[in-house]
Amino acid sequence: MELLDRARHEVDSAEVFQKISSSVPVKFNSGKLESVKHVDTTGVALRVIQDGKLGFSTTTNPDGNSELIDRARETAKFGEDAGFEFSGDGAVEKVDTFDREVSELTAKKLINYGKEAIAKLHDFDPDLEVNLDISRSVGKTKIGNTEGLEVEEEKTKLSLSLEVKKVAEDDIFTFHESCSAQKTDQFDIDGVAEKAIQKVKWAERESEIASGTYPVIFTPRGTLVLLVSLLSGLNGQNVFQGTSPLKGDLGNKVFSENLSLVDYGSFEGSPSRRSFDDEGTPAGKTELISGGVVKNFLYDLQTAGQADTDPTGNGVKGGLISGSDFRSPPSISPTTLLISPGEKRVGKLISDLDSGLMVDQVLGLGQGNPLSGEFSNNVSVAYRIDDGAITGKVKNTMIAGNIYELLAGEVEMGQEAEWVGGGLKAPAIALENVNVVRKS
Amino acid sequence: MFKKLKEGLRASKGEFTEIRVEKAQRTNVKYEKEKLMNIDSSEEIGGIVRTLVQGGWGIATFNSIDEIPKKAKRAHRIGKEVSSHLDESLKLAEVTPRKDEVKPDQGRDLREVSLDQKRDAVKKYNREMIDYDERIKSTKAIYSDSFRELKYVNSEGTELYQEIPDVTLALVAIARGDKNNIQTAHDTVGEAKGFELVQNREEMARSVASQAISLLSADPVQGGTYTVLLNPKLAGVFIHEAFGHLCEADHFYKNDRLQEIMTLGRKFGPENLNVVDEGYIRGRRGNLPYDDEGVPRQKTYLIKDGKLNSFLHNRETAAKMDQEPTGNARAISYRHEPIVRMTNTYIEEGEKSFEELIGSIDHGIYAKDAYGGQTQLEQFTFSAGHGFVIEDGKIGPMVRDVVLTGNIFKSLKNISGIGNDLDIIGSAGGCGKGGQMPLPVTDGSPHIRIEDVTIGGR
Repeated sequence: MELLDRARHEVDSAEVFQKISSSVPVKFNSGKLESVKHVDTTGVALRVIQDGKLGFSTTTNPDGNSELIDRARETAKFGEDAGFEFSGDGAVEKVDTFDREVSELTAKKLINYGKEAIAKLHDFDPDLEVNLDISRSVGKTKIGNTEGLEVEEEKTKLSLSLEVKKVAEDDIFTFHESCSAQKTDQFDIDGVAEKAIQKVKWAERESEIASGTYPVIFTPRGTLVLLVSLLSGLNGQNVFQGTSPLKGDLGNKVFSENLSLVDYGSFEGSPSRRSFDDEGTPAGKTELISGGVVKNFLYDLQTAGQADTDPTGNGVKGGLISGSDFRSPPSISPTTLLISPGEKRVGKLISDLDSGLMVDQVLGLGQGNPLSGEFSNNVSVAYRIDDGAITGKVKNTMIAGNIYELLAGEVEMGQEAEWVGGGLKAPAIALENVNVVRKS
Repeated sequence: MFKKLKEGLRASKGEFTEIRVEKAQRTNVKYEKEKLMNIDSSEEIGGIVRTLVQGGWGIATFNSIDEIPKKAKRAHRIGKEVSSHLDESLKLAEVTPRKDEVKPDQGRDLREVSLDQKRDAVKKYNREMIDYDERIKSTKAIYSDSFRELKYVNSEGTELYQEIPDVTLALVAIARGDKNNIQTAHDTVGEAKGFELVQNREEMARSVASQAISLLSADPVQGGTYTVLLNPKLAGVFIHEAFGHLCEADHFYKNDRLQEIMTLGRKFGPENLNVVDEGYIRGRRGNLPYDDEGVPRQKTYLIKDGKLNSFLHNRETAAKMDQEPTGNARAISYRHEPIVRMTNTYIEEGEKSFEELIGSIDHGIYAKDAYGGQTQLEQFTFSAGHGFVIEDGKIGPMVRDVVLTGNIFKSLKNISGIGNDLDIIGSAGGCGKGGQMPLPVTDGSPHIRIEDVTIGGR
């Protein structure tokens, strides 16, 4: 890398992150094709350490190398102690992250995929309003630093997301469903359509639940309600700063023995599979919680340096929601999360319940006070369970609780783990004693 | 000034083509606890071509300005593919072509302020929070500014150049009592102006820290149904999230049944309720002199005298619904096409004093500030920063974890009092929609009182 060679002469140490990506997002609005876009992005991010201080700058200008170095050096002047060094360890084990078929998908093919999914839903109910986004992308990441690191990887991704609305007078039932894959053979349009149709079927009838304390089954997608908090507790930065309730709990059994959670960036079959994180650290397997015992926290280079521990390959630019973005500096984020499934099928979890709720989607995910584990959410997709069977959707209902208390209590995992979004494979999780508030 | 963009227009064979090129300079400074986590000075250039081919959109984005003609041709190819799948051609509402240059109401030019001055300000506020109390375990102080130069041309002859400054400061304090008692407080400011906004904010820093400490001894709110009094900040988020988004025509313009619910003239609230989206208020973050389709700003009454009065449109939704464009087509950056968005959205001032609003509440909650909100059309939910119990018309103890939820159609009708203290608030961050986030907007309102709001809790 020319930029790295130039930087080598001007600063003490440097890291260059290069991203070249090309994606084709296709958008359907109310079941009709709306637009197709070609998005080409070229970006470079430069981190420098000069006199022990960290500087950062980014550009989209391919000829702007000298300006980029000047600006990064300027920011380092006003920066503070980096507290870490770039790592030259070349122990990255390359895994397969590229699928030629995905990279060659044409707009026409994507449009047809979209039409196929919409047709499946409309076959079931022509009144469903379906907004659909489908996109394929190819992104090439190249990272090098003055300590000798030089890694590169090309990743493909095919993703589809649905927003489905069933409209009645003054009542709109809305839900989301999605799937993504690194390879075409992992891409399951039928599966997404079936899941969506199941939701509509369960919501055909309306049910009610009185305020009180109930057992609640979180579907694989519903587990996000719990994970938002749990992940902030497992974030090495929060642990280091003392704002995680799990600080000091390494090696302690804090949760039910049925809870095991792993971060595994290079996991085969993950839609976000990668060989290394955005700092070039190998994206290996990190046990976070095993049989209820806290085993490890997530770290990037900087926080690992401050906390005097090893980085876990979780230095990610942009984070889970916004996706990889060369503009932001790396920060701690999970890569691929796996929650260990249990013994019971979801059908059995449901039929074992006398009275409770099954929660799939909520509004205001992560609002409130995730650090302390408190959640309080309005359910948007949730079903009443009565006498071991689903009796209909519930509306105007909130669930609340503290995940650290709930996950320490009685916890049962479903048997079937599913991919949720791009980087979580989770089973259903059944918890006791969740507060439910129903508007009278 | 528009030479390369016009080359792109000439290369395009679509029936309508627009090209937007953006140059942005940004600075970010982020402190976390005692550490400077990031200081970043960057620039970015890029653009987007959008072309209409036989009624279908083809779109291509790029970083290299020299590639505009090539990208215009690519957009045309895509548009042709799209149109072959359409059974109805898309049309755009007519607008008068404009040529204009707009410079901002610049205060202290963000580009002229040195990096160390920016860092020192943030460092000072961060220190102020850390030193406030030893129970403050962590802090965040985040400064962001940008100066964007936008060029826009289209094949109808519109040629616009706009400069848009934006500066925000967000302060967060996290306090910890015993093990699981971890409380967060935050406050933010933002304006489309200059550096003076973030100067002399020591008091803001102290009040954020004090808030986090107070929350440690606050009880979680008791879940139930209450009469609530919303402060302007929370009421602003409420009107933006719960109602503003409903008025964005792209949500429903292709759906007849949704249009039945959103009938113009339908009574949505009390007669003294007026809700406005205003494209330009001096210095406000939501400002957009011309939107990203070159349509000039406008003041749009969404609700007038309690009745649904207008929607927010881009040129496409306006044509489809046979209404006028409202200047609400916005894109967060050159990587995105414009979609229907809000600008500065607020509830107009009413007549009641704060004492009159609170005095008649026997048992309720005074909910203040907002952590955010989300809606799914009729259902809304948002989190207050904190709240107070109201007993016999007086403010009682502080409560935490106040999350409000309800049905927007019912809650608007249940507004039982509008204050005389309108405040329009520019905060950090912004609004998210359709994968485009954060878009600078402002929300505002006077204090408002709403009956029968569900508050979740334990």
